[in-house]
Amino acid sequence: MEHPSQTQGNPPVPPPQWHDDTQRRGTRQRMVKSHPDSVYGDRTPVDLQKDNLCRRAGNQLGSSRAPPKQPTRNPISRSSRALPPPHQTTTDANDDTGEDPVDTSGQAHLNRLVWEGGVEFLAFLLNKAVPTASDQPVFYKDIARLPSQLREQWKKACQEELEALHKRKVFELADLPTGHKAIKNCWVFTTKSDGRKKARLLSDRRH
Amino acid sequence: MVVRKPGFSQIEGIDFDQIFSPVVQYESVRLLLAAAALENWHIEGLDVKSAFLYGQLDEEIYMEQPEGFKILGQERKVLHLRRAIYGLKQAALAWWKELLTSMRKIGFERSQSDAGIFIHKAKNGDIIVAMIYVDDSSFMGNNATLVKEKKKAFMGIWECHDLGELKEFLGITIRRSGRKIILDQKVYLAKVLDRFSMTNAVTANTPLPHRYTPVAHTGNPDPTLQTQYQAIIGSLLYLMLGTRPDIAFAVIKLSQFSANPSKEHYERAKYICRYLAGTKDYTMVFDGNTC
Repeated sequence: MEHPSQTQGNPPVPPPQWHDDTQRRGTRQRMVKSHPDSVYGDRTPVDLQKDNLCRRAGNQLGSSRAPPKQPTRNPISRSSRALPPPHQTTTDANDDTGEDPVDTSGQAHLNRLVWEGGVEFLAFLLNKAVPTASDQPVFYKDIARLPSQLREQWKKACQEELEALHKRKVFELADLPTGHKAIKNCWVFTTKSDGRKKARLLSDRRH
Repeated sequence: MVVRKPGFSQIEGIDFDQIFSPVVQYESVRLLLAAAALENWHIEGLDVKSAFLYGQLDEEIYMEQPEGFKILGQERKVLHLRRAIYGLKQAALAWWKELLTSMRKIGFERSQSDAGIFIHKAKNGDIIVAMIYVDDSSFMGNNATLVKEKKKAFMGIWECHDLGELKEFLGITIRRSGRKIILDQKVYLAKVLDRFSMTNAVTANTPLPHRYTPVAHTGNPDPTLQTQYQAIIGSLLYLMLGTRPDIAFAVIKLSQFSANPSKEHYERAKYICRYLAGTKDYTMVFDGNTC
């Protein structure tokens, strides 16, 4: 068998693009989706927050005390820490499609949250707190296992919720157009403090 | 109030808050209540019924039919959403937009620093402040008649439960005695203590032991401990932001180890619980004195 002459002469070279792929990701310009009627105008909430922080830091320049917030917010001044600077993920956060759960879960994301602190971290922790209301997020199939009397009560609660949704014309029956995906939903069952049983239909994209 | 309800995996605050911050600005709530005590304002409470269902959707969203209630013979059909539904990430923002429009209609302007605060200034100098966090709403001001009037106007737009004088806001119990406004989260505290079996624990006198210096955990994170730790710290944070600034230092200190807590950190978090168990009758009081 004969090989073409050029491959015989050259040793195999690995494709060079793969090596710096991770670095290229970091510098990639991300397009922020613009929503014309957004309450934030043409800026994203993250940008607005940054503006606020800058303004606050600017106001404190005149005072003799060093601004307390600004250094902790600046990834460069803390670059001696083992963790990577978080600039990449803050732009990621603008992506409101929620289709990219890869780095929102997992230890690396958690480390970043703890390291960054701030509102996002507090929101994360608050989300983990013991619920304020006595909610029982149960699956519908759990209801089926209850004694019939209880089951009927919960079913009635579901029906009431559906009626309320119908009354508000929240949805209508339709065929799923091709190219669209239907989101999932789940029932959440609550017992109110006065013993009333309440069912709420929650939509959920990730379940 | 559903957005901020902790413990819901479906509404992870993480990607949600980039659309709309679910974190209530407790600072605003406390500040306004302090002002109310100072000025002896009249405070009224309201609860918007199924607030989210009012939100208009800009996108085309389809949802499966609810479990157990599929229409016979049409099981394959889906529901085309016309309005926001609970759990949808757009729901909070969609509702808020509607709310903003309605508030402008009845003469309120939003506060620039907190999307949940709306202000109405009458020509004669009377002022009405509305705090609205999703469906939990409150109207307050110096002129009781005007407060009631604005509340009525609001109720004309949205179907509400009238709660009368404000007794509770965002899980914080509000009591008034003379000029004083007294806030507590005793019910929630009891629940937290119960959840972590600390109700009958030996009480501690301080939030953290004297000269305690936490040491970072070097081993691999234990997922079970991590979950428990985050739950306990999250709950303590909730109390801290609401009515217990005395545990702020301890909670924030320990929160730094949320990513990789050790058994020791968990024990210290429980120490805070023991402190709270011993001080569960502490309340936050705005006594309305100017000095």
